[in-house]
Amino acid sequence: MSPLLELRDLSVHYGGARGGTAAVKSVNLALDAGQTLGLAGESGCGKSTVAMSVLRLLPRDARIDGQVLLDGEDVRTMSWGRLRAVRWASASIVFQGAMHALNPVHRVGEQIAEPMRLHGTKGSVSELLAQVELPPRVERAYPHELSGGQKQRVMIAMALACSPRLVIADEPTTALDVVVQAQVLALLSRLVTERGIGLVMISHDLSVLAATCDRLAVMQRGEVVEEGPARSVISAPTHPHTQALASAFPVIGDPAFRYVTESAPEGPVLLRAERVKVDFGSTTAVAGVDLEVRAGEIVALVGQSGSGKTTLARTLLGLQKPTSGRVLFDGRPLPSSSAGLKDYRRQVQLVLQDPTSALNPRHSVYESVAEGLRIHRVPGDEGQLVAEALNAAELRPPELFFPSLPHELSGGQRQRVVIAGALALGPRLLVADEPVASLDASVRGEILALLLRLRRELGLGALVITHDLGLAWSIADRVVVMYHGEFVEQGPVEGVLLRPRHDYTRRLLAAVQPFGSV
Amino acid sequence: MIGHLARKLGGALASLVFVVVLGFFLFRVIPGDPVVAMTRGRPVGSAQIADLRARLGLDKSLGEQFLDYLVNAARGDLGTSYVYNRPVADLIGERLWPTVLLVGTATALAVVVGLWLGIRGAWRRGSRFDRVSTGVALTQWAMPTFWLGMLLSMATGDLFPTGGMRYPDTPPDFLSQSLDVAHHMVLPVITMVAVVYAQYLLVMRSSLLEEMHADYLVTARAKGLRDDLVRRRHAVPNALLPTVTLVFLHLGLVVSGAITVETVFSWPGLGLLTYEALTGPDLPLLQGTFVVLAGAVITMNVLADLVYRVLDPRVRAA
Repeated sequence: MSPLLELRDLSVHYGGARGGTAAVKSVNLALDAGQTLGLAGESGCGKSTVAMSVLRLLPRDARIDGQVLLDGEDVRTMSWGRLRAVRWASASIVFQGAMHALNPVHRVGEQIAEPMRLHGTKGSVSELLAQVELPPRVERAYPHELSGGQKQRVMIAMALACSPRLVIADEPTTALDVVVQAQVLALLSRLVTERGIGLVMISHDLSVLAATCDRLAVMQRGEVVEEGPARSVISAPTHPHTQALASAFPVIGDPAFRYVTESAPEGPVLLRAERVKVDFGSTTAVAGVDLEVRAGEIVALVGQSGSGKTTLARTLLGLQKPTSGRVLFDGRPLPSSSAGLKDYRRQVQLVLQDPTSALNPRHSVYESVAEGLRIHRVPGDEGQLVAEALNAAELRPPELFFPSLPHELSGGQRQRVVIAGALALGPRLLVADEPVASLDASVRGEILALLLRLRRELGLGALVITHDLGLAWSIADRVVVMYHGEFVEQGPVEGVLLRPRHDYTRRLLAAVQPFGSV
Repeated sequence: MIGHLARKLGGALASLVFVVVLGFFLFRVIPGDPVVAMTRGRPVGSAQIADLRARLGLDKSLGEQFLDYLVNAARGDLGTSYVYNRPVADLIGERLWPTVLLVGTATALAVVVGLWLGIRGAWRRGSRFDRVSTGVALTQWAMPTFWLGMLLSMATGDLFPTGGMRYPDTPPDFLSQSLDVAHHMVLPVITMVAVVYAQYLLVMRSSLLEEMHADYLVTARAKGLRDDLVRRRHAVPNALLPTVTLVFLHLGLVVSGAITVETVFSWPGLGLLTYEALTGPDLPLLQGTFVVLAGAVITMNVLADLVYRVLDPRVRAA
């Protein structure tokens, strides 16, 4: 019997019939029904291209060589009509980023029912929704009315609509919170067992794949560099790239992933929040919390989305007025005048999650870094200050980067530009919102090392907002766990993460430790 | 929803009041003495001129004139035309429908033609069809309306009437009258459509191009939808959103935009009336048309907002 999906010597080239760039090079993979195959790799390694080639969804300029056998039939040679019949009915895809993969102007139920009507499959939308543990009323909702986790479930329900034998899940949990992520993964695993479908899981996150896959293939620059049973690939990786990927996801409790070596010096308190409470109408986002950040100290504020951590950060930056309580910087309450706030924001700089959207695509690196200097009328030679900031952010030699535009840089380099823009103003405190969430595994470590070096050399204090406990373990001195607007636990990293006292902290930890190993 | 509607209507009303106030002062700046214009070519004594001024209320101070204007406007009385010596409101009422007929037909055609060409062009971007249709549309858009209008009249010879709305000797029955009006409409409508459809084409084309790379289109293809269904059901409804705003905003403007076409083809509509009022200057008539034309823009704005809410569920929620 032929396997459910078999890739034989699959290569994909982009950009014209002759030459072009190879996105996928001679990939051989096979998957049987009832099995889960993981495809790991960093962005640009070709894993999504593999997924798209299975249903021939690649752009026109892509050239596919080799064979893509779906139930023994080559997708490459199918007629358009046959291909349309196979799409979704035999194999479906849970696309990356459910936010954009759903049509914003159609109701969810309509979108799920569409392939059923098209392929003449019987069944009901509410049953499908029930399978992915969503209430029937979701059927009448529009995508924007749902949370990220719900949208992802809708995508899964949609993928199951025509009872395909193969489901390809492309980064199905990337944009989700750890707790929701664990739920979605459990759901996918359950469906594989119950329905006997074959699942291809694509992710950059080895821990996600470890939790769900039987077999694992690691891709780098279009090639499969390592393949084997999931557990052995992860626990005993042989290829250096697999090792790099594995080491980029910190294991909480493992001293090898704790980059903070010396304990933080007892610096003066830079930022202090006293009984800060923020209400939006009748909902309380932040329920009266106290927080201190000292110079030279990195504090991680951890919580899932909706916990109030972003609201708190906005309040600390003076972007949101607290309903009650106050915020002090250097022992003085935050100024309320716009001039005073401007001066305050020079000392407290913000580093955002996604450097791609934080940078103006039409501004050169020089412009982006110099903009803050101009706004704050920082005295001194602008060119020199920009060069120093880029140097401090390890973009060397700085002159080389001056004329670059964001799209010419890698993700890690972009985040360095954002950090350089913050550093140029000589701040004393950095507030970083998920500083590495959008970065590839291998660059995460570099950016974290940069933050630690800045702390050490410039005595910067930092408040790192994240849902990622591994990140907290890697670089923070203290960790504060936020849940429903309150601090449920705080203290030194080792204490909180290794001996959690609050139930919620334990749940967060359990969600990121698929093997249960601490 | 009700609250939103109330806010929108309140805003529209405030804009309208502002327009009414602006309408008064704007036309006081125009050079030319209306009394001199009215009596041009006739022997009149200074006593008669003073009498005429008093009758028109022009002897009062600007403040008093403004107050009179406001009080009358609030009652729906837009004053009496100097030239026609008839209530402005009646004149506008008479001329409004021909304009609505002409502009409405032309816009509806332009929207249909523009959107269809825009969708086809974007879906096959860079194809010969796309290049030709965009090029032709831009060329026509660049043409001055009056020039194109005159060119068309000359080129078609006696095929279509080149002025007015109906012949005086047409039988009074409904069918003959309708056919006559339609016959008269051919040239002005073609002129208007030719000039304006390019905007719809360009906006539709570029907003569909933006949607072309959207992830949900890949989803739709992966589901096994045919190419034209992907376009019709998924891409176009999303790409229509920015276009709708433009269409409605433009509908408001088109009423005044018809000034050139109506003048060239002597179409008895608001545009021609405005043109006549300008040559006076017939102050009350100018104020009146100004208020009505601005009111049309404001109304269309409100309508655009409402239609947008129907089309886009995301806006409805906000």
